[in-house]
Amino acid sequence: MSEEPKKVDRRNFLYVGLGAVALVAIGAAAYVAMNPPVVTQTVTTSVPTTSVVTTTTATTVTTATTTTTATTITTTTGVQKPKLTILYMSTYAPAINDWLTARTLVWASQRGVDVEISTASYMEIKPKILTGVETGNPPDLVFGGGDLVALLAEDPKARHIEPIDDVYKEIGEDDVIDKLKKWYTIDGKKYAIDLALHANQVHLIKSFVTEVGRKPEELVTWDDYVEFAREVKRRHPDMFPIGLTLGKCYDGTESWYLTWWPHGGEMCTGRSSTAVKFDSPESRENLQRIINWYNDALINPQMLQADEMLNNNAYLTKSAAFIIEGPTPYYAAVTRNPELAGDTILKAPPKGPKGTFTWGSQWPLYTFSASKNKELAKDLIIFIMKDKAEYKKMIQSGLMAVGPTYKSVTEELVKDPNVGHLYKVYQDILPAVTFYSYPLSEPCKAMDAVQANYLVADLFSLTLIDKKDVDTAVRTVGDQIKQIFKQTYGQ
Amino acid sequence: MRLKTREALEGYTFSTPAFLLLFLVLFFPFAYVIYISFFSKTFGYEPVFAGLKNYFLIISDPVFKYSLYISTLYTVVAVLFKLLLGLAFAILFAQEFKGRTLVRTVAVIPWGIPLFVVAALFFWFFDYNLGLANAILKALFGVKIFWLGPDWVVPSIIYVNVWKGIPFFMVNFLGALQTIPRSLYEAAEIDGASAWERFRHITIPGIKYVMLIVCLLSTIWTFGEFDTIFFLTRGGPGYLTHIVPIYIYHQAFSNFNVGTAAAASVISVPIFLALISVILWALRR
Repeated sequence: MSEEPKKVDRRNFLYVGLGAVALVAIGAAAYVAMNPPVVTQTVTTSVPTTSVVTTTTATTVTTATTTTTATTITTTTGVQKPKLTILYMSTYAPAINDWLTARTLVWASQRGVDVEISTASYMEIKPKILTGVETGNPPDLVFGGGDLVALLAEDPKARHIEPIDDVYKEIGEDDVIDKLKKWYTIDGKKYAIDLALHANQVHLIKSFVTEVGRKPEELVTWDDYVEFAREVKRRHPDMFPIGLTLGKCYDGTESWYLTWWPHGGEMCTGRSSTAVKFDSPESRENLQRIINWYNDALINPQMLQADEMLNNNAYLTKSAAFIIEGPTPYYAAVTRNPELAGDTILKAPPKGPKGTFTWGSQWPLYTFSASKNKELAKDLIIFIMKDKAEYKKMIQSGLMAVGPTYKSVTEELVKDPNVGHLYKVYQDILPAVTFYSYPLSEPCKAMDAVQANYLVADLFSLTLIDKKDVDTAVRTVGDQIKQIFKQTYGQ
Repeated sequence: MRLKTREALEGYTFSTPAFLLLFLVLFFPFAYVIYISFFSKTFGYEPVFAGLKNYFLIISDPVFKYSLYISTLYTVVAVLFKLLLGLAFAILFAQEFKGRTLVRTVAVIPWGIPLFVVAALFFWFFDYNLGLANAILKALFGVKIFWLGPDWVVPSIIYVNVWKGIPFFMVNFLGALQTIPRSLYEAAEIDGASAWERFRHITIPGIKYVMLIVCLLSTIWTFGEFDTIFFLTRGGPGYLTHIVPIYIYHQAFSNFNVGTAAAASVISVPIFLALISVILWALRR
């Protein structure tokens, strides 16, 4: 016997709905009543030397330290603590990320600030930053996204990144490697500071050098390295000795610049399409050079994949005799394969007729003009960077993965009896570190777009996959670069 | 009359929140994409009206044309393989055999694995030096293949999609097969129908509607797939696996051009709908 389903009266249903809405409204009102809105108070200090400003309320103590003559410190009072949203790039050296997170938490605890730390890979961080800027809600502090700084700071009408000259003054500007300051200086102001420098070095596997009867110090020029690779290939026909990535990715662009600059390649001399120097005989010669290496099976066809880990893996599995990379693969070898680390020598990148050049990846810290907590963010940058003894620990924990931003810390590490020789290589190649807008060597919004699009890596796919001739490939990419400059600067 | 008005009012009252939600979640973003496609727009900069410029740029871009081609090829081939293999496995697993439940459970596992895990798994599976695929090839035939290199990358990504997608087809077909009365097969057998005739005239009509729905959903998912291919190849080598979603992503986050990314999205909608219609038409026949 079935029972007739009970009919729900529409009116009662409506009343229940209204009752639920009223309940939610009462709940929300109670929440707001218990959590009053944050009161932001601006304290302006005029102090010539280091001072500590402490604001104490019933529940919160906020402290900020400044040295500048007129610095504005925004402190937050009320029941709620200020909350800093932080976006950190996850590096290939986890110890560095651990150090950064630990220091951030120490700072947060000392300042009585809440922090919300998110991490993102190199690939993920750019969309996160850009969408944050677009929605007017960027993170308060970012570590990473170096090739976005000019894009977000160069145009006076759309300067989204906050200048941090006061941070530089506080941490001791003169001690920061000059080249790194220049990377972030736009119209006389500095917009970011590198946590550390990821400068590319040759990871040369000594046993291969010995096997072909040579000494590592004999390998200096590109010609030396290619000859060495050919000798390795003769002994190991299945091997691809040159570990250069050719895919449409960050490392693909590095491969181009590391071979192009030493042979006279130049990108731009100014901020206009007429200042773009890419379409040149040097570009054609360099592309032909790499095609020859590829056709002679000195480079693995797998390297055409768009993947930054390919050259690292080639080194770690000893399927290449040498790679050129910021020493994170060496860090991986030290932590996971000490035997390989012991069989590795780090060297300055190969020289060409125009000298030695190397790539330095940007690892910047910066904050945004739209951030409500930008002064706190700057305070955190100071906390991270100023204590050089602590900072040195971070560099050491990275086991050579990165080099210091400071001249003094570099000097100290060079004197270290155990690892000094490794940091000496870093110190020696510092003058060779080159920015992708070379010879302009300044932040350049159009070059940020060229780099973010990995346009120069298209040279490899155009010739090696699409089978276009060298001339067409260089012309195609050159025209695209010029077009980007034209769109950006209107000329 | 008064009652009707009250009923209508109540109807509108109840349906308004749903309409508002639909407007906010579906209509508004789509309308905004169409709107922004008429502007030159970089992240953090004010949009500048550009008329149809973005559309002309996209249409004349050979990479976009190739993206449409490769997306269509990828979708059609992958859905076709999933359909055929899913059906074959469903028929196989519909039979009585020892350990059937276990085999059916194991066969569904690929469907349950998250996309990024699948990508990581196949990244190493296809690796030239360390991958299992080449280890097997080397052991059997003494050769190795650049699976994610220019010659093999498209078949490789189709393989990954088919591997992950077969269980979805199989499970749905298996369910549909169980709704076909056994008596139909018995009657056909008595009438002297061959296995092929029973399959053609009983099985296929019996699962026809499930087949349509499954193919429709799979076409939508495969055409819009981003994660696995992006993780595995990032659209490379070169532009060889630059499917439409990756093209749009690069327009936005590598070229920083939100307007052209929006225009590419808008252009791809009718093409996508046409593809779905063709697949459905073919299946109905």
